[in-house]
Amino acid sequence: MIRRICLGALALTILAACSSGSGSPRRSELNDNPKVGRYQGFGLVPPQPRPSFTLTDTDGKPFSFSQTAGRPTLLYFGYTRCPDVCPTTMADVAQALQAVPAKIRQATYVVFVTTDVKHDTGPVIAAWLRHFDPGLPRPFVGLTGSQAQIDAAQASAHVQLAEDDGQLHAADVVLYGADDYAHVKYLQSDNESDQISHDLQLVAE
Amino acid sequence: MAAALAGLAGFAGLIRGAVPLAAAGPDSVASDPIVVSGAYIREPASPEVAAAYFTVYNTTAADDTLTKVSTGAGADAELHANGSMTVTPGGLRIPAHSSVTLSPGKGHVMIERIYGTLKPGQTVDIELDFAKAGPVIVSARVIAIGAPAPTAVPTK
Repeated sequence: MIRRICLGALALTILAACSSGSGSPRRSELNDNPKVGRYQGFGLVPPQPRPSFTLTDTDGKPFSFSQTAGRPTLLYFGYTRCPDVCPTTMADVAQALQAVPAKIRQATYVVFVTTDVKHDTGPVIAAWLRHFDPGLPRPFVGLTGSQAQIDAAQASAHVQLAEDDGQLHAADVVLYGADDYAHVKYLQSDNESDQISHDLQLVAE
Repeated sequence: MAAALAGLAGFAGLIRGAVPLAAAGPDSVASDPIVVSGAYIREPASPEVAAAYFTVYNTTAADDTLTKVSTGAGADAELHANGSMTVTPGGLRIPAHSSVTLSPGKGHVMIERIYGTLKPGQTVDIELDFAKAGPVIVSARVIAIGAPAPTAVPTK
């Protein structure tokens, strides 16, 4: 939404410049932000603060997202019966982690939150995640909860709420940095591991 | 081992009909109306569902439509295309002298209720039914979760 508003404003600026025929068009706010150009993913202006929500991990214990504070964290909402985007995304994330220095790899949390609370129990999510994180020092965190909890978690992370038993969901991977802000996210990942590993190294400290 | 895998990848580049895997070369099928290339399935993380990806080339001067998909690898197979994760109504149009690629986020053949397990190195036969060209059998290679996707071989 932020992006659309900015692009709309840019279009208006260009139109105004054309009709008046004087001066150079103003640069868009997106390009004026010096932070955006650093990232290879989709820059977030303004940065989004790390949300706080508590869900249930795959062992059935409460997991507060606040416990990832100060650590680089990749947050993703999806479901295990997803044939296409979710496994591709998780594989990209795993590949990105393999490509960064060991210190960052050890520090980074990957948190997967299911959007299909009816099907995805703790054991189902755990079995699914273990396909992606072998060889990584920190196992991926899998979370579930009530529908209301999942909805609230998505809202707090500025991710569009999933519909249709969680099967129609946003494909955003949000990267929170050590400063507890998300400056960048990734959309509909199709081999974006290079971008993720590039940006991860920028926000890890 | 790496060399053996690379060899397999080369053979899997272009496959059509019942031609044995090793006998199918990029030039041997150029006269066929429909050529399917770069077919693969990423090893599924879910025991229930997998997705197959490929590129379909229509070498003829008339549009064709992929109307139906089927496979013996699972109880159900559905065509999801145009970025939608539901069955594509009316099938997928392949314009004349053009290609359509199903890739993550854009489309796939969804295989549901998989029989057994799908492991890297296996191949899965998928029948693609076209309105004009008729059935085309594709052998999709199962690749590891972290493996790069094979590249489709373009036709002239």
